[in-house]
Amino acid sequence: MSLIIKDLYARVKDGAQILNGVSLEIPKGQVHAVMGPNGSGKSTLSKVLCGHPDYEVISGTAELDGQDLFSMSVDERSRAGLFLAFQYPVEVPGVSNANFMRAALQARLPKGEELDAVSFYKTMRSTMSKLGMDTKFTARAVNEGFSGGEKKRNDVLQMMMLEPTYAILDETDSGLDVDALRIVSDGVNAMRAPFRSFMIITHYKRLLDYIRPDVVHVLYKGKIVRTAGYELVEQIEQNGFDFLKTEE
Amino acid sequence: MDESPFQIDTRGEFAFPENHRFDAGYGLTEATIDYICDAKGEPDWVRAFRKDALRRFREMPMPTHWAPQGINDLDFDKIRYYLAHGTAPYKSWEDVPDDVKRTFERLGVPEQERAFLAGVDAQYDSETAYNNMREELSKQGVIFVNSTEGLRDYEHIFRPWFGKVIPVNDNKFSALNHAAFSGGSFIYVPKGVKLSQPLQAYFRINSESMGQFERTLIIADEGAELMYMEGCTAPKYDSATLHSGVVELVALKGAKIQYVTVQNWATNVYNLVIQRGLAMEDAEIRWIDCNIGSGLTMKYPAVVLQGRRARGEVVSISLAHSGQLQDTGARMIHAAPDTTSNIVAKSISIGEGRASYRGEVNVLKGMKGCKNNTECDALLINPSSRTDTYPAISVNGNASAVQHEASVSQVDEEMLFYMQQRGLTRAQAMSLAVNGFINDLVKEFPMEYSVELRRLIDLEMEDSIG
Amino acid sequence: MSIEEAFALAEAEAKLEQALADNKTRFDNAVLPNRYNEDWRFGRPNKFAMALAETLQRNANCHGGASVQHAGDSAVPVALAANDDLRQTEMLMPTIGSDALLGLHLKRFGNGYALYIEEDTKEPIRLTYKTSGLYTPSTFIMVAPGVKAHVIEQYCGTGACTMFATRNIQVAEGAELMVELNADVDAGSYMVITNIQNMGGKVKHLTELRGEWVREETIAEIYTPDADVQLYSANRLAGNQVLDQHTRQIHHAGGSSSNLLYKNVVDDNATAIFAGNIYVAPAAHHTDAYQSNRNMLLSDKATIHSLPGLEILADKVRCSHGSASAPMDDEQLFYLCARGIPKHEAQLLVADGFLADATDKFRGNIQTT
Repeated sequence: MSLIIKDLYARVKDGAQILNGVSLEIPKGQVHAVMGPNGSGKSTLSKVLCGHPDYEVISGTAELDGQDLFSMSVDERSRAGLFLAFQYPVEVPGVSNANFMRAALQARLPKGEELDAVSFYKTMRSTMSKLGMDTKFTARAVNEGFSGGEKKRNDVLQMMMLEPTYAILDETDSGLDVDALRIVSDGVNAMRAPFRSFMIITHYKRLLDYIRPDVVHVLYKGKIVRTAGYELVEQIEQNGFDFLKTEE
Repeated sequence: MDESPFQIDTRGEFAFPENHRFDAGYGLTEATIDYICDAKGEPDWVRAFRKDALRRFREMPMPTHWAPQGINDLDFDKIRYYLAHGTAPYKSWEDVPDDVKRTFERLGVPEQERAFLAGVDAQYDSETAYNNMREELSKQGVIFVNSTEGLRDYEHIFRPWFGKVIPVNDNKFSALNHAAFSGGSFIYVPKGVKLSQPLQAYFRINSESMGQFERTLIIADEGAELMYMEGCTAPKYDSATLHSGVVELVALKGAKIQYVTVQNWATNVYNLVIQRGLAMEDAEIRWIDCNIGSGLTMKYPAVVLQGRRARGEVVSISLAHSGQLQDTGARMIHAAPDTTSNIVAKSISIGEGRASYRGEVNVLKGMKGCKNNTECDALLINPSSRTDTYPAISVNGNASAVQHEASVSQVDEEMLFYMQQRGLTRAQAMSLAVNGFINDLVKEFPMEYSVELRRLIDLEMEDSIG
Repeated sequence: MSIEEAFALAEAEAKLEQALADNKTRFDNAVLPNRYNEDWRFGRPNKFAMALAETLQRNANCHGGASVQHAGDSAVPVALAANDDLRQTEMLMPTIGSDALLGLHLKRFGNGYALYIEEDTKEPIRLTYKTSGLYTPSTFIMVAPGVKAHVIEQYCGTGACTMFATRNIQVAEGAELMVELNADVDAGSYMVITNIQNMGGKVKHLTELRGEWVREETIAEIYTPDADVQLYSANRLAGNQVLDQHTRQIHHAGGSSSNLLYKNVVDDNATAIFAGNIYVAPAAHHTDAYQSNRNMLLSDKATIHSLPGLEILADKVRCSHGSASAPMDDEQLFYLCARGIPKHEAQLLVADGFLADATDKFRGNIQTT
């Protein structure tokens, strides 16, 4: 069981081609890091996997536990177990965090079954306290007026509530101070399990020190150009991405 | 501060004795129309057209249900509808009669022509006195004549569009212009021709109780580009003067038209002008409009976005001091998909002046991907100044986005104090602040005009505060 | 009574006499709504006229019932019939292009309630009007100085009924009133004219309106410095519904403030019209007034007309208005779908959230569910 991406070509709708044949396999239970310089296609990859309407797949496949991702709608992919922690979480005015999470959890229940409100709130509050979030956030509209760090934490809260099997963290570390980074990483580490895997998109070693990846990929000009273990992170930390240019 | 390269009398508060060969007298009747047609030697279809328009003018009501009350004081029988030295424009300054020549020289027209214009059309009361265009433009097929010549010599080009953008029955003043029109410019720019310098029209009312009904039609053929500028002045008389022009623009596929107006009529002039452009596929029409003079201005430049991806823009500055009502604005009709429009309007009310923004944005049924953005800002200078905003926005369907924001503010006292503490008079400080308020819009005017604009504003501020 | 008070009273009487005389000509000369009237430009008055005629044909004398709950000791409900003071109040109330209709309403005067609220309300006073025919109630709410009150008015119509209501709300110095009008007339037509007279208190006003054809005229008049009026509305339209909303924020006194937020979600073939105006009278300096109309369009046949106006005759004023109309934001929808919420539900959530902005601001806090 794994997330398998094969020869994925994708572009911005009516615009530039960004992914030029990405192939990647993330088996269950593993943490994979995807690194790469700005503009190499990391965020595009995450959005294409989730079905963002601004992008279109030219060719290639993506399978989630054997299911064809690209034939599913955005919400179906989510319910199939795919989660994206957004690089820029969206503000949804007027919809409270609690209502939002309830709706998302309710959508995962079989028809006719009602979410137990009491246990829902209990879970939500305890998860929030783990993340160091004030419980007043339950009543606030999703991300509205949140600071950058609060938004990131809110996304991680959603991940912990929805318990996906495949989670993509798109630059979740940007905008977080050291304490918040540790709290978020603890949350992710607590979720690591043999039946769950992560794709962590980042520029920095910092986050990967907290969440140790099993495999590290380098995405460059829309292609995976290097795959190795944690030592690749240290190499990039010391020398940057210059080695990519010399390899061209 | 910037200095204008020209020493121009921009207010035009002087007059010469009347010396007209043609005078149709007061009031508008069939006889007046016959007089105008005979003087101009117009073909029968124009005569019939004018008479039909006169009938409609008489039948149509004044736009009283929404218009400013002041319009009801206008007495159509106390207006003179046709006054002219001669009916054919002179092509050389030497030939222009002395009083007319001196008028335009004082207004700086010949210097400007030499310095930066591609062509000039100077109208004195009802007729064009002088019309000239650079030779290389006529070789490229550009036509720049007055309305009489346009309909007579180039009927096949202008008649198909004449009265099509603004039909005779559009409103009472449209009918009036169709009946009594005289002067104005007819311009045709052929396919792909791009004018690097602007064409200029100068409208001058010299005589008392004059009604000026100029008629302008500009056609930019596919891919053509031009900028047209008009300036208006008149001396101040005791009796009312009426300026009621009609301006039609046609921008064919991919064409661009910019139309610049700096209106500085005397305050006894009713300035009731209809300006509308038709923008076809990928075409762009921009109205850059500045109203400083007149007692009552009602003017809402419009763009009908008729072709896919057409763009429309109105940039508007209004200055109203005591005794003035500037009722200005813009209209954008989105009649094709993926069309975009933009309206930026700023007004300044001084003393007991009143500035109103009146606008219409309409995204018609079935249109997708249309966008409009409107910003209106009003500045109130004195406690008894007044400003109004009356937008009307209609959106059909869920595939377009329309946004309107308006604000009203005053000049910050702290800022004035700061500038005065540094040695500026209150009027200077106010003038600076006002210039700052409209600075981003003044930049949209051609350089020569923007310098003039700033100077006019300085004068207005000194008069009202100094 | 002192001499000054006596003179003041006499003067007030004389003014009233004059006003009544003026109003006679006002109703005699009034023209029935038609689409050439600017105030009825998009409002389809014919729809209301037809509905009225149909209801009357079905049953000429039908009307509805009224009830009041939780008035307790804090308020005194008064029956209207034969109360000339209240009739005169209604006679003097302003309209937005509907004088002729107000004249008709006066002829059927006598249904509804007057509330004199003299103590803080412990729980909201509920006024309910119900009908299945034609019903023309009047509501009067008077809040005494310093009193805090909450009133909920509910208007229910069943079937193809017609309702036409007037509301006069007076708030004294230092008083605070929250008043909400929740009108659901189902397949019927409904019109309400409201006049808020604020003599130095704070008023929060919310309308949530639903019906085949609905017209709201809300005129808030502010007479003293420090007085504040907040007007909110949140509506969801579908089918062929027409909602025609007209508002006036009239600042007679400087140093006062008002705020308006009207939001609509428009689906199917429905039409929402908003025509508002802020008027700041000469010398009403240092006024703060805001007005915002936001529309979300959900279908390609949905239509909105938005006419937010300003008339500022004073100085040192902070005023702004805005109007925005757009489809639902795809990014928001994507975010919700990306969490597994099916598209249709996500749309409902986003639309509810869009409207909640207005209702939350009315309630003054964000409520936890």
